[in-house]
Amino acid sequence: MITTSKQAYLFFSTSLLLLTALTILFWGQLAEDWKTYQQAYLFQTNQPGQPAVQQIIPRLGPDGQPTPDASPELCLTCHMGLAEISPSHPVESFGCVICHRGTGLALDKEQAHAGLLPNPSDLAVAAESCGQDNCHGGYADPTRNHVDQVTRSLQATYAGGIAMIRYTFGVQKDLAASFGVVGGVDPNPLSDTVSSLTAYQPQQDALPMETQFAQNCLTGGCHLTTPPIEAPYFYRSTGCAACHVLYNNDGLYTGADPTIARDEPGHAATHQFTTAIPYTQCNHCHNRGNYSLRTMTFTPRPDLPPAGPPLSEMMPTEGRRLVEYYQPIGQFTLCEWELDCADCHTQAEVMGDGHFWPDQKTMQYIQCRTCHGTLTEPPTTVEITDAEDPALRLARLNDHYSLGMGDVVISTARGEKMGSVQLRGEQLVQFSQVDGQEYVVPPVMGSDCQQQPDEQESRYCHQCHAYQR
Amino acid sequence: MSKNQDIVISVMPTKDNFENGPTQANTLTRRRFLIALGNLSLLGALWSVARGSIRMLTPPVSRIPSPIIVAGPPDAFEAGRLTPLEQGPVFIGRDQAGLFALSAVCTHLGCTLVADDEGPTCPCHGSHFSTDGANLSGPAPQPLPHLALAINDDGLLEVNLSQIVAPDLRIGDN
Repeated sequence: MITTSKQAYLFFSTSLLLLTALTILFWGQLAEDWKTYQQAYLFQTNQPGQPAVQQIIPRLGPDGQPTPDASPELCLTCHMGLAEISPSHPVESFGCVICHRGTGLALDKEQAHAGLLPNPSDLAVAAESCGQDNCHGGYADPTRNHVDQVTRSLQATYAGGIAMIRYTFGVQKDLAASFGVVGGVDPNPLSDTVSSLTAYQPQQDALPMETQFAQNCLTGGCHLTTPPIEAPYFYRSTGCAACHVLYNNDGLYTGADPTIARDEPGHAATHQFTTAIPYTQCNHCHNRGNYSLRTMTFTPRPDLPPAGPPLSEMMPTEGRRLVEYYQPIGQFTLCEWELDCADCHTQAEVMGDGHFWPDQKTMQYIQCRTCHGTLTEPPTTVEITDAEDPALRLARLNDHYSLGMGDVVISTARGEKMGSVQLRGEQLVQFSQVDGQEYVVPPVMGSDCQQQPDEQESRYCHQCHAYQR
Repeated sequence: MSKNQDIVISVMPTKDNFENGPTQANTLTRRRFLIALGNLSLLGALWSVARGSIRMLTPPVSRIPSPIIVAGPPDAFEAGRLTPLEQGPVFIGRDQAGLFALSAVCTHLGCTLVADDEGPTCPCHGSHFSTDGANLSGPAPQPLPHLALAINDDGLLEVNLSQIVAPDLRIGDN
């Protein structure tokens, strides 16, 4: 019973305090971030509707196996409009957590992102996400264990570059590769590959140049394991996504996820994985400058932005390719700038084949004659007769060419099938893996070519077929 | 006015208080005012608690859908082909022995299958199945499960997604 003003004050203050606390809680609910994001998405896409929690129940469990008891995920409540990563990873089946981890049932950002892997394909964590058993790892067929293979590829180890630098400065007596950015053991090395690499770490008494090399060249800008130079034209991701997730030159996101800032560089163009990799993606690392052995620093090309003036937006694609494709000193033929890098450089060349190759020169094996043949021999072709052929799998992942049983394709010197170069009637036809454009591949046999049988490297072909910029 | 005396606030000027001045019965003392505000705050707090409790009982997420799918009348499904259902990942097939329901979820990584003349195919990783669900090629490790099919009281086919049956089980049209 309230009988005095003091009691009334106390009662009033307590009630008011309680109301204030609950009001804050109530307004906190009203102003939840996910509602703000959804309203922004609905406004941007001019869609009617009210914010609502978006729930998916994926068909795969944490072990990557289909299960009826997978945990619901609410991630798309905030990330509404996020593009599906690829047709091979439909969100209705995979969900988000199987790759990205985090807490799928949380709607609060901090809780949802606890333990999150922003880039599950980063080689530091890829074995637990992309490379987990039943996904891209754990198979008896090593060619399907992509994370293992990429980790051993030159793109990740940079073994040849490390050996060359150490040899140049007298730290080792020959060019034999024994160190890599990433180390490891290959139990079944080939005659041209090395059985193991040691993770490169300059000793305390190392030459100053070794320390500079490790700091400037191995920890930023190059190799799949390291983040890029944070500047326009250099933006990219790491790990598998370094190649398969495309970045705009300005590093800005152009997708529809309202949680990703549109004015903050360093994001992928969209949340999509692709095998149709244009040369512009390769150029985020390659052909963009030179390295000084004296200072152990990288100098961007002066004829290209960001060091040089920006290329005109009006410049036709062909002209842009001619400027961007190779360093000014480089020589190249018509097909070397008409096509994209991925049209010739095969999966085994770029992503590795599970072996530690000592350097780029030893590893690269695609030559002009792979597709054009020689004066005395046509290019090697082979018919697709196995429904499980990896070439069929690669073709299915790429929307720009099709391949079926009975098709005849190029076979490389190491027996790798190039499914995008197919025999059509009497002609070999190359399908661009980026836009599907068709190119007839002229054979050397029967032409006026005057090549010597033992001169098959591209430098010999460039003597007559170099394209003038 | 003494220090402890309540402040007397005159309310609406009735004829009585206009003529006789404010009285205890129709005046709002500071104590009454605070008690009224306190009551109001308490009511607001109770309302917030009640609202939160009720909301907790009805979370804004969709519920797990029923495993029972009504597929339609039996005669809607032709012999010799697998008909995908819009209501869920199921194919309804008909052969000489009768009708059957086949899961349209790939046994590899759970993608929804599409059916062509030669049987279900996975658009994700290319697994191919026969029209009775056997895994023929691709990475799918197991055949497609056959699902329980029944005719309900309305004479419509019903598929139970949660009940797997023997692959040779068929039902008639009635």
